[in-house]
Amino acid sequence: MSVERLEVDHAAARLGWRHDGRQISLRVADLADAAVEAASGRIVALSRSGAGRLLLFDADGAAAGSIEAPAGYALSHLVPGEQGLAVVGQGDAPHDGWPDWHFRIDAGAASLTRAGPAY
Amino acid sequence: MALLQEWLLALLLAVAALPAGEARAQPVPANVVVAVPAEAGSARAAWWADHRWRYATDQQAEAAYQALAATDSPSPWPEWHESNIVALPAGLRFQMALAPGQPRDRPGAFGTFDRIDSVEFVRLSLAVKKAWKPEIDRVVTYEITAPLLADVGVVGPQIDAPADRYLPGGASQFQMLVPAAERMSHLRVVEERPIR
Repeated sequence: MSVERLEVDHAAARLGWRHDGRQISLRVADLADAAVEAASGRIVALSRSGAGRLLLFDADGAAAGSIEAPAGYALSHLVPGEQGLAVVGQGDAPHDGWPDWHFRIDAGAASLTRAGPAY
Repeated sequence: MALLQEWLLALLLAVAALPAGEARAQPVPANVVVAVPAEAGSARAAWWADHRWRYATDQQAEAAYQALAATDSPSPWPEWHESNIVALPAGLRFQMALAPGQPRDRPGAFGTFDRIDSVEFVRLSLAVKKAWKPEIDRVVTYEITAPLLADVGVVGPQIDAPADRYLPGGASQFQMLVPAAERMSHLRVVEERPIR
């Protein structure tokens, strides 16, 4: 039931993976990056439309919601880490002295939590 | 020269003649830098060697160390940094380390006027903790195309606590003071190259 061979085709704005013996392919406008969020098993796709948005998909390809960029931030790229999958938000103004921050992704709850500064 | 050699020899003989217990028995004035035992942690010992002298007492130095090591978002500047806000002129070039997946048209907020030759330079001289940029694969040279408001100085020291690593910093650094969405409107990409 796992996600295999996740591939991002930037030129075609297509996201594909294999699941349960099937090839799944989706078109995502302004697709920048994608990764599997381990805790939920969902696929997180970063679209750079506007300030950026995370689109969530179940392993079978069903849409599972989306997460908007936090107010005052533009989403840049995904960062896999020991604490889980995160996205870098680049800020309009510093918070606690740092303009850019990691936001941890909870794909199950479709939420972001500020995690730590991003350089 | 001969006088200096004689003086050094005399000093060495005097130190060698001291019984170890007697040497340890001497009280240490509060304003004297003392070595930190190795078991205190390599990051702390290395920070102590570089920065203990800045503080009047061990207690003040320890407080400064803890303030740096115990927070997730310490200042990117040295403790003594005072804001030096300038408009960086068009034509000025700088470098920035990027992460895998980070588009070059989404630069971070910090650049350096030093040449970034390795990931180790980023970790040590730019004092970038693993948590702040877990992976680094490229360096981009940017050129400023329109005056860019920035705070300019040098990189402050950091403690990468999970790695028990002292990151001395010391390279040049500036922090862009424009909203993230406007950064690239002040820049153009000159060159991009991989680093390890």
